[in-house]
Amino acid sequence: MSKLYRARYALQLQVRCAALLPYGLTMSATARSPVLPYLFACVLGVFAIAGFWYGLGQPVILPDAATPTHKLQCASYTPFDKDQSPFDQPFVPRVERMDADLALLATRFECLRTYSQTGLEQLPELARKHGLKLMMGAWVSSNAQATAEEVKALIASANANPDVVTSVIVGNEALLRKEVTAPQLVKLINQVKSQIKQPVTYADVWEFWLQHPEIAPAVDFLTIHLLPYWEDDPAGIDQAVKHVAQIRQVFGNKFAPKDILIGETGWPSEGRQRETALPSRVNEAKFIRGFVNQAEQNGWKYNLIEAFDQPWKRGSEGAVGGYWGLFDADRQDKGILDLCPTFRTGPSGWDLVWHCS
Amino acid sequence: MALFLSTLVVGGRARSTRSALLLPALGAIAGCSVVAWAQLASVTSRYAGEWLWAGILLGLNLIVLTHGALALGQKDGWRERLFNVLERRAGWWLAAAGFAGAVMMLGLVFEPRYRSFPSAALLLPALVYLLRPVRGPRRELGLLAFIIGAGIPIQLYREGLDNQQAWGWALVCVLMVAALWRSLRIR
Repeated sequence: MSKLYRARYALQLQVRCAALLPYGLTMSATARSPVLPYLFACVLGVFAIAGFWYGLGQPVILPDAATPTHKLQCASYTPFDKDQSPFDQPFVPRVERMDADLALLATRFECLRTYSQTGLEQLPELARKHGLKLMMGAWVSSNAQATAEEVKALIASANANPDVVTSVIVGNEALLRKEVTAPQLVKLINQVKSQIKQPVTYADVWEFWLQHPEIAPAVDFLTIHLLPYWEDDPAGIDQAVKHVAQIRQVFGNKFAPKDILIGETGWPSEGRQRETALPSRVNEAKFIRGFVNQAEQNGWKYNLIEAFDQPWKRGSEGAVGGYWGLFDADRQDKGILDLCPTFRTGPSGWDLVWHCS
Repeated sequence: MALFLSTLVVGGRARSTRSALLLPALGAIAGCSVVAWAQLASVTSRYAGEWLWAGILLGLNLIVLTHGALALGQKDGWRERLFNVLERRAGWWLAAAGFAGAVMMLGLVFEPRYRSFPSAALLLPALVYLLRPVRGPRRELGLLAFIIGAGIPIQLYREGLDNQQAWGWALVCVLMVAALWRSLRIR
């Protein structure tokens, strides 16, 4: 028997034996040896996978922000269901959805902030039904006619519902988007002020109040947006509440005696990291709870962004835009405020291991 | 866990100590990275085109996983036939992974503000073809390696050095460039 033939014969025997025997228990030395390493590697592999996903599902215990006996001030509300967006033409509001939304939000908040009149014609009635107050907004854009209609509807609604509408917001980040000039905005604010009894304000990112000082004298109070994640120099979660406090302090000093409303503040639960600012449910809960605690200690007025995750916002803001809600788009509790001390950490949220009851 | 078990089943019996160790490791990495990619895609995908892109990358990961498992495991019967089919087109899988890497890197270099870091999508192909280089279209692989490699320091500069997600992407890209480079050197 030649060497080559012997080798082939041995190989054939090995293959035949392997077919008859269970895994690894073959007769050749080379095939027998991997059993232990194989089992070892399998156990290691199982532990690695379990460890990875368990690590992402680790519970984190934080102090509560809101309880049934202690409601928070305000939250931003838009009437869009999971599959709807303001770009739907025509937008058909679902009254049952809004009714259920307000019933849920009334358990946690004293008031809601809105951004537009479109689709929200029934909101004051629903708010009255659920005992909520409204900071009502009119959408100011570069379209003069659409803006005029929004302002007209705002005035009418504020006058028709003085028991529910506590203040009105003429325009949201319109200067940031460069859709109007400061003088145009002042004119709109004065127009509304002359026709309603409630206080009137305008809302924009804090820096735009400093860039356009002529707006402040026109409003009854200033509404500033403070989003540490989106700052040009983003603040990490450990610095975020402190950053908000610093800016609030600057505004309180600069514009006294006018009152300041922190009109939008919050933290996203999903999306890309910006420098040290990492979106996650735990970080959203940390921020909201830390902020609310500080706001109450200092007597700040605030509105949280936002009530429900809005998937349509991902279109213009990237994934992160859709995940600022305190509840998700299916109206499930994200465990941001209370009652649900178990969180899933990590760069992306996945509800497989989400234990919130 | 299902991906882990599937990898073991597809791979079959390990032939050597090396493959006995690497086959479960491959399954474990797939069980983390492929599922993590599916999650990220479900969170970030907005339009049909984005879902399609995510789906294609998911499919590519599964092909590379099968290819890697078969390369490590048994080679007889259907496994041998499937391995030969995948092995003949191995250059395609690597080029596809490199192409996806280059596209996503260009996105993160030129327009990063609204993009997530797709590290999980490329980890498996980068590791598999780093450890087992394959022959492919040389000029194209070279160009892809250049684009990804040149993007690494630029995107790190843009994101700042405190961004762990950017570092994760940089690491995966280094592995991808190394895989392309090793494959380039095969004649």
